[in-house]
Amino acid sequence: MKRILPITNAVIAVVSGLIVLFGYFFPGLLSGIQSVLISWAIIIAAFALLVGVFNLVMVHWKKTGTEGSNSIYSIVLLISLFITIIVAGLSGPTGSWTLWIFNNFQVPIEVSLLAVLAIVLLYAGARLLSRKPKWYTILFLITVLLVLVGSAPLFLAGESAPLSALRIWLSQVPAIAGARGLLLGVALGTVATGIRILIGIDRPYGG
Amino acid sequence: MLAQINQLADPIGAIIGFLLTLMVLSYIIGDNVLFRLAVSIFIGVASGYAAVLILYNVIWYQVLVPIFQIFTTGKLEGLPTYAIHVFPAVILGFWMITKLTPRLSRWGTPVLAFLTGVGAATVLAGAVRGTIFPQVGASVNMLNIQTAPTELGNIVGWFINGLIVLIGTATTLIYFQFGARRQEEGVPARRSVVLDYLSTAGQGFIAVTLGVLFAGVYLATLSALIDRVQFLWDTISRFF
Amino acid sequence: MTDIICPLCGKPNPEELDECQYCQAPLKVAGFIASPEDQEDFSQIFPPSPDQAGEEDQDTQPEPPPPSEQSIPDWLKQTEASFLKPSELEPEELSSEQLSEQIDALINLPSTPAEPQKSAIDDEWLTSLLSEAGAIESIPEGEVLLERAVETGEETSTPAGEETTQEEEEPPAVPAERPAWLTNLEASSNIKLDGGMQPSEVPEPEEQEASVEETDVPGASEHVEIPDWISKVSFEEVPPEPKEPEPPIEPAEIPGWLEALRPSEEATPTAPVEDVSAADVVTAGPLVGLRGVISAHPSAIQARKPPTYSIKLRVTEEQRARVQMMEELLAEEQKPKPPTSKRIITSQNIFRLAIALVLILPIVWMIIAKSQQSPLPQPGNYPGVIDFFQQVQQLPAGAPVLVAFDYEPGFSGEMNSAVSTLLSQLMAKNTYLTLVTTAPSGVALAESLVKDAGTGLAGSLSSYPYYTDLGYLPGGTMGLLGLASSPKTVLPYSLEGIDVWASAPLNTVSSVTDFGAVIVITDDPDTARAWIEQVGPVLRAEDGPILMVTSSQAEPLIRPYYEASPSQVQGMVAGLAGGQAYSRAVGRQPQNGVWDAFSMGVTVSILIILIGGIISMVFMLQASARKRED
Repeated sequence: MKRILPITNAVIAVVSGLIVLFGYFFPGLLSGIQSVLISWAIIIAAFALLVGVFNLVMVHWKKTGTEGSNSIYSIVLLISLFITIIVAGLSGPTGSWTLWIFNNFQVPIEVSLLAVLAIVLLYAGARLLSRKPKWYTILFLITVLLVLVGSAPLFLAGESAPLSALRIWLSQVPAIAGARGLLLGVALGTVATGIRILIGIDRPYGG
Repeated sequence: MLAQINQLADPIGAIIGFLLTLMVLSYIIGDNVLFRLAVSIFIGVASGYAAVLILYNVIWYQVLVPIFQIFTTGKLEGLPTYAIHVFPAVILGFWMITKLTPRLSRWGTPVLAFLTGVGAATVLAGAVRGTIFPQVGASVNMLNIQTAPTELGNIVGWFINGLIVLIGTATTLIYFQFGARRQEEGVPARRSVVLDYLSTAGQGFIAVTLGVLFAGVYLATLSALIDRVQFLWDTISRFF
Repeated sequence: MTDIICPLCGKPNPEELDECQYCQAPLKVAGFIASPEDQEDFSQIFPPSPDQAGEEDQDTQPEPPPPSEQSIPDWLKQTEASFLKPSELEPEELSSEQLSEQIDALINLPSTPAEPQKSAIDDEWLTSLLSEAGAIESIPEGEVLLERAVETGEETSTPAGEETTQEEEEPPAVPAERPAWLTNLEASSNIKLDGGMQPSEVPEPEEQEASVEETDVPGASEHVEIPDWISKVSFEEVPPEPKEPEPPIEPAEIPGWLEALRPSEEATPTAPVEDVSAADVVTAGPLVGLRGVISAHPSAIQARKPPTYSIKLRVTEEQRARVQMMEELLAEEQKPKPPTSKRIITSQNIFRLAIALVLILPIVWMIIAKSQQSPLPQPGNYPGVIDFFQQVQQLPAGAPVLVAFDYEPGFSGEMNSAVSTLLSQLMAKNTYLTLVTTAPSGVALAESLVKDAGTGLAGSLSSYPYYTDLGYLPGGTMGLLGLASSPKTVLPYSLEGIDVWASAPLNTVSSVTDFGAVIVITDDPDTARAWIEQVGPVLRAEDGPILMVTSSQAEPLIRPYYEASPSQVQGMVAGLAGGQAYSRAVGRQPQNGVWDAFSMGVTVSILIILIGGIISMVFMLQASARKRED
């Protein structure tokens, strides 16, 4: 059984993946099966999300039983989770009370987290040259400054046409070149990883 | 009573938002209890909402409601579709719950294998169809004579820009190639000199791209900071 | 402190030395430590010369031997000296004939072995002894003889070297008889060996002298010039031992120097630890007669089934306690250690607080003042905004438009203005909004924004009626593939449980190509890429466009799709600046000072980065200068 199960898992992954892949090339023949498999995957993904939430509850439930200051955070998490489930369950995902919780709890915290990030990024940018900088570090910093200058009119100085034009050229030519290279590299890596999974070399699902 | 609660909900919500905003912004002076409490509340609310949404959107309306309708109305038109598209997935979904327990965890692996296989094929096809072919074609078409401008001054700029984009794309890809030819024994493998120079050029293009990305991220966070400052001021001015 | 006499060269050495300082022979062989009596024997065996004796009396450190004596091998000196009697013997004057006979005996090698029972070893070393004595050492010996002759006051006629060469040229007609000392040397060395010389075989010194005399006869008949110095040389003859009756085989007399080499009793093998006297005697086999030996008899080894041992670990209480202690130690290692309490007030935190204040205070000022000084951004300065606006403008009225709310609430501060403008523009055209999201939080976000936009548009509390919320689409890229091919299958009901595909306007929609436009609102470049890769290839040129409203953080990675030829994204609005420019294109102008605060924030940020960079560079240069000085 120890040997049969991993082989079975690999066979399942390979067969299902190949059916979906060949559905692109032979739409008339395999599009129906492809559609069925995709439907299954969507529903299973929803179950996976539920399993993830349940696991979160279990982990923090165990933490509440331990001694220490960290248990209070788990208690707060579980209380807020259960209250949200009860309120949203009764009111519905788009009910007024659900939206009240969403707009007064989730949105302020998320936006504030991003706002704190602004201070951190500015601090990091100010200290970028504290270590011995390389040529690409200086090029990076110059690019950052040029984009910032061109993205909004400087206060009391107004908008500078040359700087705006420079920012537009930066974002349309060299930045696009680098971004395109990155996107192609990511895509090639995705293809390589996908092929490895579809021929059974990589088994990220375990076994 | 309910109306009063509805009336009070808005200001109470504003005060809660105000306090939570201050709790999170306190991270500027350092990690503290208030910040961690705010983050715990956020995780709890977000997880609870996601769970409710799945239960409503998928489990209730896609799994349970169709079967109830079939049994209540007696119409079996949707039964074949349900039996093919939904029911097996529900079985597989429940099968995947075995991943929660360590003892039965390995029995839920086939379901994950199925998800992985389908996901890999989807992403692979999308990368080829949606990124590789179109973007390579776009890089080549930068110097397509048919898209060239007619004015001479613009042609030079068009040509230079196209060349920069083409060279930048190629050198960026070359930078990520770290293969080297094997040398004699004892001599470390090294890339060829030409590749070294090209990858250095790619490094420059990557530095520019990352600079633009960093500036974009900072502008997004600055916008969030401005939004929070505005919210705080609006709340203060509302009550005072 | 008593000196140790070297057993090899006979020279005294300090007691603390382990090796002889003259010949490097071990002084303290295992078990051998020369006793004072042995040391006296050594001194008797190697009697020092009168000169040497006098010198030793005067100096504590013995002088090195003269070069002539150094050339003589030590073993030869030993063999000579060992047969010298302890008592001083007056050298007797030998006749020249006797002298020449003895020299012949030394030089000429015996052709046949005298005693066949002698070991070959003795013959070989004897042969080498003789050859060395005759061939090599003839000259030094001659010099020794010369010295002695000088001492006795006799003259020398011819050098010994010439004589020895002449004697070497003359092969011995008769096998030369060995001198007495040589014979005695053989006898003493053969004592330890089997078949050694019998005492009866030891030739008497008188017989040796007679044999020497006899061998000298033929030599004497010839007129041989014997140098005078040879006649003057006197030999120390070993006096003949008194005749004793032949005793039975007795243990040989081991010379003193050999006796001194015997290992001491301390190093002798100890008796066996185990007393085997009571053990049985082996009666057969190669070990017959021995006691305490494992019997080779088969009955000694009884073949039997190997005992089965329990695999259960026998653990004592102490071992159990130690195992438990080790397990506790390992468990503590795996537990995450609580983070050490850090000081809140550190230089880093103060610097960060200062930066935050410098950044936030001007923004607060702009917000409070609701400043409108900064000019709104021009749509033309932001590539994609005008295309976006135009694409939305070209949508037919009442057409179903798929709007995907795939951004996190955290980016609502940046993107809400662009989204509100978009929704207002779409609502103004009475398009049928089909809301969908691949992020769980997008549902509530979409509902909030649509309700706000609808209220603002209508100017009343009623919301915009022409929309449906399909809810959350799980599965990521798989869900998008399903949506692109068959949205009805993957999302059969709306969030309210209504079969929207059965009624207008969605009853005409069978795939994503039937929508007037696909508008994706996202902050994540990966989500945008998934939409472009899965939905984009399905859309043809004549189908609806893909439009993007993105955050400024995702814009650099989505712009390649917009700038592609043919374009994969037909219009895009990015960030707060893009949203403001889009609002201006639509005709909406915000009055809340956000743009001025944004402008102020960007200006202050640039200044902070520049000043911080300059200060960092200065500090770094100072530090590197200090390092170079050190």
